[in-house]
Amino acid sequence: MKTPPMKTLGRVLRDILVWAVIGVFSFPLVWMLVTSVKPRDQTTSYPPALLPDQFTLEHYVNLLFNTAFPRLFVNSLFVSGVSTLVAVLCATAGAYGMTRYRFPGRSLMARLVLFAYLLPAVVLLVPLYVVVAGMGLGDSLWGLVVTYITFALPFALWLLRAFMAALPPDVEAAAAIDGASRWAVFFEIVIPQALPGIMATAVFTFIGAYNEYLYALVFVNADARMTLPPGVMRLVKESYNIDWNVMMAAAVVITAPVLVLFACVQRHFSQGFGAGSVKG
Amino acid sequence: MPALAAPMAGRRRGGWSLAARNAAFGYVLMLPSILFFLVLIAYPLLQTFWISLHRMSTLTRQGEFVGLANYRALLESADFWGAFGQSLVWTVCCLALQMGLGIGFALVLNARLTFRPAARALVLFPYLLSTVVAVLVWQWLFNDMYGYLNYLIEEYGLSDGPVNWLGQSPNAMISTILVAGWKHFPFVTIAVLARLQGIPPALYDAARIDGASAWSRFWDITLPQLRPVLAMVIILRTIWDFKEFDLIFMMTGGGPRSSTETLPLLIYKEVFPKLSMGSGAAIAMVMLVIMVAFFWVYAGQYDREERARSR
Amino acid sequence: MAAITLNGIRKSYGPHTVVENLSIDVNRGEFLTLLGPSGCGKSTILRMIAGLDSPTDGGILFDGQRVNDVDPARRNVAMVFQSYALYPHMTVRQNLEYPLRKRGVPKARRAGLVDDVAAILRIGPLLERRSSQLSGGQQQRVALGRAMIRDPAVFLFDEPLSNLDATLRAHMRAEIIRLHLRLGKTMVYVTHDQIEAMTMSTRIAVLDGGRLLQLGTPDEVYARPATRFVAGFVGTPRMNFIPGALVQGDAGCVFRADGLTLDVPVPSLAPSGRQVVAGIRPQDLLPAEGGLPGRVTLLESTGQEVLVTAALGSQEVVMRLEDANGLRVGDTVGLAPRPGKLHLFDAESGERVGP
Repeated sequence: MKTPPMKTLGRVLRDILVWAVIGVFSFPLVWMLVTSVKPRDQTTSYPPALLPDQFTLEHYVNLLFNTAFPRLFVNSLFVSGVSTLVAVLCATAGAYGMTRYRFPGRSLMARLVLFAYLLPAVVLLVPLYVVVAGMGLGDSLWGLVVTYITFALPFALWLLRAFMAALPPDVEAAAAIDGASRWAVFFEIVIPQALPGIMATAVFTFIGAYNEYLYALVFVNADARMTLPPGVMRLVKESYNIDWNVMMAAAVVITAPVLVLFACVQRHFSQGFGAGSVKG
Repeated sequence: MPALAAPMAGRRRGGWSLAARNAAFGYVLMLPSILFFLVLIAYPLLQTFWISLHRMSTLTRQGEFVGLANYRALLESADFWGAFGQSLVWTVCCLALQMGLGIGFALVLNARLTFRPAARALVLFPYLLSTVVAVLVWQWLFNDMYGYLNYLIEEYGLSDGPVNWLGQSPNAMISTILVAGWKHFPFVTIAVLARLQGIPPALYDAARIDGASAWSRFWDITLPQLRPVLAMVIILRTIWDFKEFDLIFMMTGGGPRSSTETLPLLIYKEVFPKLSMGSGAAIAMVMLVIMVAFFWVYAGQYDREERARSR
Repeated sequence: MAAITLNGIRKSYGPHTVVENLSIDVNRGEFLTLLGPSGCGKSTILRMIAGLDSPTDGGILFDGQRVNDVDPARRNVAMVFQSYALYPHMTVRQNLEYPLRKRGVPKARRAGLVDDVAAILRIGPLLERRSSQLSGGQQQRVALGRAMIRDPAVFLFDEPLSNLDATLRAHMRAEIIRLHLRLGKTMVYVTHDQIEAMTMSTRIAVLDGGRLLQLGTPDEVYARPATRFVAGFVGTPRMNFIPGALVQGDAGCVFRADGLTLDVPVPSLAPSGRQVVAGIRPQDLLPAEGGLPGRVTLLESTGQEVLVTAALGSQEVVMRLEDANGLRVGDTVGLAPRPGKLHLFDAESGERVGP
């Protein structure tokens, strides 16, 4: 069947239009990338050059050797990594218990997980400040880890619950009949099957923690313990003359690990960010 | 058949019934999560309420019991009602923008398009960005001296002088809403797109054979199929926009002159710059009550969905 | 002593009763089939025998010992699932070895047992494949192998053939029958397929709505169905049912069909006027001069037999003939039940009436 030429033309025009709109929406990202590799003098020139005539990595070098960025980065990785580890370990066991075992209070527990997942961080701000100080963890990375559990754990539980519920229960029943204890079923049968889901959950939890700003702003003050989001904002606010080239380089470097991690688990994306609640 | 009786030796372990042992194992698996919930969520929520009944300094964390005085003060506070109104404006506008963009892009990306996978990846990108990155990029675009947006506006003569995107009153709110719309609409797109792809093509074929126009196919097939997912997305985005702190705070800090100060920012301001924990906790309680209402709606919708799916 | 005794079992989830006051003795070495439509509770019963569910009331006894509270791992039963339930992250060999490893069988002996089972089920070439790479029939063999390999006291089957296509199903059915003959182990088999139940079983337990309707050999269940439900469920094509009453006829008690001039003598019963439903299997309905006039509405030939659907007044009956003898749609044919082949059921309770 041949398509009439008018129809083909219409399709081409529509494709061009759609791609133009996508171009507009992606422009901030292009601008971020371009600014980060543009020589300084071309950044403040008028009109601003869309594509510079030469590329430079000096801003990245600057960022990595002349600013506090590397330390912020390491702190962020530490806090996000540890809180993700704790949250995903607890949530793997919890989500399995919640989906497969009947016990009084099970549905209430599921409700509470959902509630905690939707709870605004700012509502817990005041008492967490008291709790963390009470633990003697004020102004420390470990204190930050503790506060991150408040959103990382419900999030991980909620995601993993959906993953666990999708596993075929017959396989676990077969293992129990084949002689596996409850723990053996969990470790030898459930975890290997759920591993992709656990990894995806870990990635999404990590990204959530890595991007967190409010608790990082409030619970840590010392420069040495600051994480990326508040640390970078402080670099912006405290510099008299903001070096936008370096800032855009920072933006690129902050985004890089998120992209890498996301690429690993993107198959689970719609389940992930939708938190299993909108896969409808 | 001696083997049947053989493994009976350990059968009365603890004398618990099978169901009880299973339930106990369920509890054991949940124990770490339950402990964290008690210490880090349940107890702090009670604390919030308790602190809201005190006049308490953030520095000393010592206070006197004042009953409902903090709440009474709230009702008479212009700051509170201002933030309340701004929260409303913020939530409604963000939601409308995100839903419009999200559904639009979902429909476009569901149709035929050259390089569609690349288009999808690009559209999803803003959602992956760290809020701090989004804020940096947009502040750079909004920059009054070298920002690209002001260059475009001057180049095409849309305005007499450079626009003060973030430093002046309705502008700051509008700019921030635009950024939030840009950053979060992909969530709507992902959810709607996933559902669109789940609609059986046979439905459209049948409608086409019955002579339905493109418009009536959208109206009679697409929209009813999308309704449940749209309901979920609207509630979720409402909750998330309503509690947004990071983006607004980094973008404007609540200014200029509190014109972008929503309830979450007001809580922060009370507790930290103003060092007034009690009144911060009282606002948090107000937010909690609103959240519980949202949660009810969401949980109800969620249960309906689950039932529909299991049927 | 019975191998498995179900003693007054009841199972309910909240207000929902799935199994009601069920008592069955499963004899040692027998092949017992739990037969019934979906939702009749048969799978729940099997899961309770395995220990995956526990009864709300009543006792489960193995060799006379109560096992209600024994973990599945300690019951020495093996189970084959409809979904096969192979461990997807393991190879076929690892799947077969898993129950042995859990029982502490030494490595050298495990390899030997795997080879034996693989030879019996002809899955040797598949041993190093992942279970997810197998076809449905292959997966089912592996599942059988995993059950056999540990030499359990009891085999449980939960609709193991439902996911296979018709040819493979007939083949695996024969394979399971051979397995039973070879091993002589007690087997409990759940199915909704009456052909499977009839061909494989030592005895059949027919269930509906969580209740046991009849327990007997396939021949008994077929020849003397205990209720109208059993009569309708077992046998294809389905039995014909004609409502009527037991009344006084010329020579004693007769069944008189409602609205039809059909009287069938049932001398062993009393002409009480009781409302009953008569059941006649299609092959027990014969064309006869002077029989009930039925108008042929449908002819279905399978080549070796013809199913004739005929309208009797307001209802249709099916008759099975060896050949149509020139019968066509629209013809009128006289119908008469084969003497002594009438099954009578109480109109209300559905219970069998008379011998």
